[in-house]
Amino acid sequence: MSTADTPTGTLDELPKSIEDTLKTLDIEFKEIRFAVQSDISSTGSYGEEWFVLTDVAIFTVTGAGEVLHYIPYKSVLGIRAETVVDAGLVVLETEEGTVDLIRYSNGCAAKFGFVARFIGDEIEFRDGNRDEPPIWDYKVEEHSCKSCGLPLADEYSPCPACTKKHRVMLRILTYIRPYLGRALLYILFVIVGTLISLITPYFSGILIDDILLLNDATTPTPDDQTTWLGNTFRAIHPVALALTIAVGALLVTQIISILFNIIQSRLAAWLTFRIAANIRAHVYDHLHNLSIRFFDKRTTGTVISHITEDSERLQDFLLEGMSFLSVQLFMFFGIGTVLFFLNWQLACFILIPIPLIVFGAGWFWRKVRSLWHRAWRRRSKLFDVVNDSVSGIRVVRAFGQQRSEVNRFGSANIDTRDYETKAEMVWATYYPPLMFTVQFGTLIVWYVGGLDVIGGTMTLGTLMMFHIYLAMFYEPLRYVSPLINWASRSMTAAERLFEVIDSQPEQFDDGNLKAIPNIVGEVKFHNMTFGYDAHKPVLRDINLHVKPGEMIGLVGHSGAGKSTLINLICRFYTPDAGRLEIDGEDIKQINLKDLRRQIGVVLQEPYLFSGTIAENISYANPDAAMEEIITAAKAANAHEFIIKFPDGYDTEVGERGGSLSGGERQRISIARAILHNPRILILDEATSSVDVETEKKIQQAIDRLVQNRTTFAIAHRLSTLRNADRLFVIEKGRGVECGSHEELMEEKGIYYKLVETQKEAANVRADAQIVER
Amino acid sequence: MQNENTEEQNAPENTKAVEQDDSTQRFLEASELTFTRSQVGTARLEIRKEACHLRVIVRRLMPLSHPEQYISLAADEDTEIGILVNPSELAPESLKILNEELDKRYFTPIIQKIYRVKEQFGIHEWDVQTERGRVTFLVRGLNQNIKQSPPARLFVTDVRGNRYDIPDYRELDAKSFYQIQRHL
Ligand SMILES: Nc1ncnc2c1ncn2[C@@H]1O[C@H](COP(=O)(O)OP(=O)(O)OP(=O)(O)O)[C@@H](O)[C@H]1O
Ligand SMILES: [Mg+2]
Repeated sequence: MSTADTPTGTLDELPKSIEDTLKTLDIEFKEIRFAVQSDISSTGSYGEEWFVLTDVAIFTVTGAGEVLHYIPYKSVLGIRAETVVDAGLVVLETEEGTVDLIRYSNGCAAKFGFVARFIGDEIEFRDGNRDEPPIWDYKVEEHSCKSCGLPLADEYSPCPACTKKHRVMLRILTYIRPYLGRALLYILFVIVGTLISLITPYFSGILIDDILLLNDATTPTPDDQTTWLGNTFRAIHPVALALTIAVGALLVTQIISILFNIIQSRLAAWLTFRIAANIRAHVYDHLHNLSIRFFDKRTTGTVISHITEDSERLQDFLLEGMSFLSVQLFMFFGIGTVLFFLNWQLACFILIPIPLIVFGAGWFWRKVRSLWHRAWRRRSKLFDVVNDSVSGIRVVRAFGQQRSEVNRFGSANIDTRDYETKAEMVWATYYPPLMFTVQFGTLIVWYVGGLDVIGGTMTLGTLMMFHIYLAMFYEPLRYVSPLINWASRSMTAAERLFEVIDSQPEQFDDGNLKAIPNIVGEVKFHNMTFGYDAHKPVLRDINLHVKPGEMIGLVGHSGAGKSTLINLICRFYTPDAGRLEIDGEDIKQINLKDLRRQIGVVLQEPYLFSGTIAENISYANPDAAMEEIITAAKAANAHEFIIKFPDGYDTEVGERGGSLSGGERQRISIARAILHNPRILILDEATSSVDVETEKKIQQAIDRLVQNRTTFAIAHRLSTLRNADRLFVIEKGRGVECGSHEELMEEKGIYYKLVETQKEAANVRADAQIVER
Repeated sequence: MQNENTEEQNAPENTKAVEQDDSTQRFLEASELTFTRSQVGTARLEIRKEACHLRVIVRRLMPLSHPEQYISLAADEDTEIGILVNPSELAPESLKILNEELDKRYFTPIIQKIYRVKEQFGIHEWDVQTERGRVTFLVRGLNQNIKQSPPARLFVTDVRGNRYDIPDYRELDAKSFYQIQRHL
C-alpha cells in the first residue's frame, strides 16, 4: 500500500533487541515505520509492551521480545482507541473479527489515540474513503518544564522548581516596595521599642541594689558591684529622692514604650491592609485573564481561597510575621548578650534547656499541625453540606427531605467536633510540659544565682535583673517552632498565589497576534479535533466551511458536542489537532480582544449577574444609551414583561438572576447579545425555555438579528432552525451530515430521523388535544 | 468462525425483539449465560435459546459500592443486552472470563502498601505497591489530586492522568498510613 511519509522515531525508540527479534521472524518487512511503548502488559500488570507498525504488518511485542500479535496490515479493516476506566486499549477490526490489541494506562492515551487516528485515516485513504493521506502532526501533549523537565499541571502552570523558594521570598517583598518609606519607619520603631523595653529591667535592678537594699545597713554592698548610675544617685541625693528619680525614670521609659507601641501598631495596620488589598487585586485581576481550562481544573472554592485565604496568609507573613521575627531575633540576641555581660557563668546554665525546647517544640508542632489540618478539612466539609442543601432548598422541601439533610449536617458536625476536640486536647496535654521545660532554666538560675547571692558574689538586684531578662529571653524561644511552621505555611500560600500569578494568561493583545478590527465572519474548520481531556476526544475531524453571513444550525443528540464546537469558536479552548480559521486566519493567531468584541453569545444556561435588568442588558456595552437598551429588549421580546415589573428596567434580578423565570432570563440574555451587535452570533438553545408563541416572536427578532452576520444556532426543537441556510449534524463528535433542510430530508439520514420523530411527537400532542376537547 | 458470524447476525434482531415488546430493564439469569473466549481473544456471550454476542462489553453499574454485583452486559457501546445481578452464580469457567473482562475494563490499581511519599517543589513522588505491581508516580499539589469519598476511600490522580485507589485508608499498615496521614 502507499504510505504517507511517517517520520520514524518521533514517538518511542524501539529497543535494538526487539527490532532484532522481529527481524529473525519469518515475516519479511522492509522497515519499521514507528513503534509505541505501553506501560501495561496484556495480563494487566505493569510492564513494558510494544506496538510496532512495519510496512506490512502490525505487531505487539513484550519487553522481552515475545511476539503477542501479528496482523497483516492489509487485513485490517478499522482501528480505534477505546477508553475504559483509567486505561485504554487499541482495538482492531480485522477480517478475522475484533481484536483487543494492546492495553495502556491513561498516561499513554494521547500517543495511542493519535496512532489509532492516524492508522485509521490511512486505512480510509487506502480504501478510497478519504481524499488525502493523513498528515503526521503528533505533538507531545505532556506538559513539562522546558528547562528542568519537571511535569506541570498544564501548559499554563509555572515550574515550581525553577521558581525557587528564595525568589518567592524576594517576590513577596516586592509588595512592600510601594510603601518602602513607611515600612522602614516601622522597622525602626520596632527596634527602638525593643531597646526601650530592654532598659526597664536595668532600672529595676538599680532600684533594688542601689536604692532599696542600700537603705539597709546590714547588707554589705561591695563598691565594685554597684553601678555608676547608682553611685551617682547615692552620692548626690538622699535615698528617698533617689527612689523618686528611679521610679520616675521607669515611668518615663514605660510611657515612651507605650507611645512607640501605639505608633508602631497604627503603622502596621496601615501597611497590612494596603498590602493585602494590593495582593488580592493583583490576583483577581490576573484570574480574569486566565484561560477557561484553568478554571475547569479548579473548584470555585479553590479559586476563592486563593483570593481570600492565601492572600491573607501572605499578608500575615509580610507584616506580623516579619516584624515578629525581627523583634524576637533582635531580642534574643540582644538579651543573650546582656545576660552574658551580666554574669556569664549563670548565662551558661540557661543554655541547657534550649536544645530540649527546640526539639520538643518541633515534635509537638508537627503533631498538632497535622491534627489541626484534619480538623480544618472536616470544617470545610461542614460548609459543603450547608452550601449544598441551602442552594437546593427547594428540592429538599419538595421531596420532604429536611430530616435527612439535618442528619447529614449532624454527622458532619459531630465529625468536626471530634477532630477539633482531639486537636485541642493534644495541645492541652503537651503544652504545659513544654512550658515547664522552658521554665526549667529559670529554676536553675534561681538555684545557682541564689547560691551566689548567699555567698555574696552577686547582688539581689542583679539576680532580679537577670530573671526579668531571662523571661524575655525565653519568650521568643517558645515561638521558634511554631514560627518556622507558620512561616513555611505562609510560604506555601505565597507559592500557591504565585502559581496563579505566573500562569500564562490568554494572549489578549500580544503584539505578535493578528488584529482584526472588522471581522467579515468566515469560519472554517479543517480536520479539527478537540477533547477536554487529551485522551478523550469530544470532537473529531470536523470539517466545515461557513461563508460570511451564513446561518448554520447545529443539530445532534444531547452530548454530541454542539456546545463544545461553539466553545472553540469563542476560543475558550484551543483545538488539539487540525485548524480553526476565522476570516482565513488561524484562531490561535488572532488578537483575542478583537475576537471576543465581535462575538455575541446566548449560552445554554443564561447567566445574569446581580444587578438591574438594564445593567445586565448593557453588560458588554456599559455606555449604551437607555434608548438602545430598550430597543434591544423590545427586539428580544423582553420589553413586554419588563414593563410589568414595578421597578421596570431597574428591577434587581437577584443572585444569578434568581428572581426571574427561565424564559425571562433567556430573553434578557438575547437582548444582551442584540445590543452587543456582534459579527458572529452564537445561540445555544436560546429559546429552549419559552412557550411556542413567545418563541415565534423571539424567532422574528432573531431573524432580524441574524441578517448579515454569521450565526451558529443550536436547537433541539428543529422548527426553530427552519431559517438556517445550512444544517450541520453532529453525531458522537463527528460531523456526519451537512446541507439545507431539503437536502438532508432527501438524504434520509440522521437529520431525517430526528425530524420524523419530532413530527410524531407533535402528532401525539395534537391527538391528545383533540381527545381533550 | 463462519458459524459465529451467522449467529451474530441473528443477535441484533433478537435483542430488538426483546427491547420492543418490553421497555423495562432486562435482568438476566446467570443460568442462561455462558461466556467463552473467541479465537481472537474477545469474550463471547451466549444466552441460551436466544442469541450469541461475539464481543460482549461488560460494565459495573456500581463500581465503588458493589463492584462484584450488578454487571451490565452490552453487545456494543450503545446496545445493552441486560443486567446480571449476581455473577457469582455463573459457572466457574464463565465467571473467570467475566472477571478477566472486568479487569480489562476497570484498570484503576489498588494501592496496597505505600513505601514512601516524598515532596519536592509541591510535587509528591509516591512509591507504592499495587495489585498490578510496584509503581512510582508523581502527584501534583496536595489536595486537588486526592479525592476522598466517604467513609475512608481515597482516589489519587497523578500528573499523567492515571488514577489510583485506596479503598480504605484505615486498613493500611501503620507505616503506609503514616506516609499519607497528613493528606487526610
Ligand atoms: N468542561 C467539560 N469537561 C469535560 N467534559 C465535558 C465538558 N463539557 C462537556 N463535556 C463532555 O463533552 C461532551 C459534549 O458536550 P457538549 O456540551 O458539547 O454537548 P451538546 O451537544 O451541547 O449537548 P446538549 O444538547 O445536551 O447541550 C459530553 O459528553 C460532555 O459530557
Ligand atoms: Mg449544549
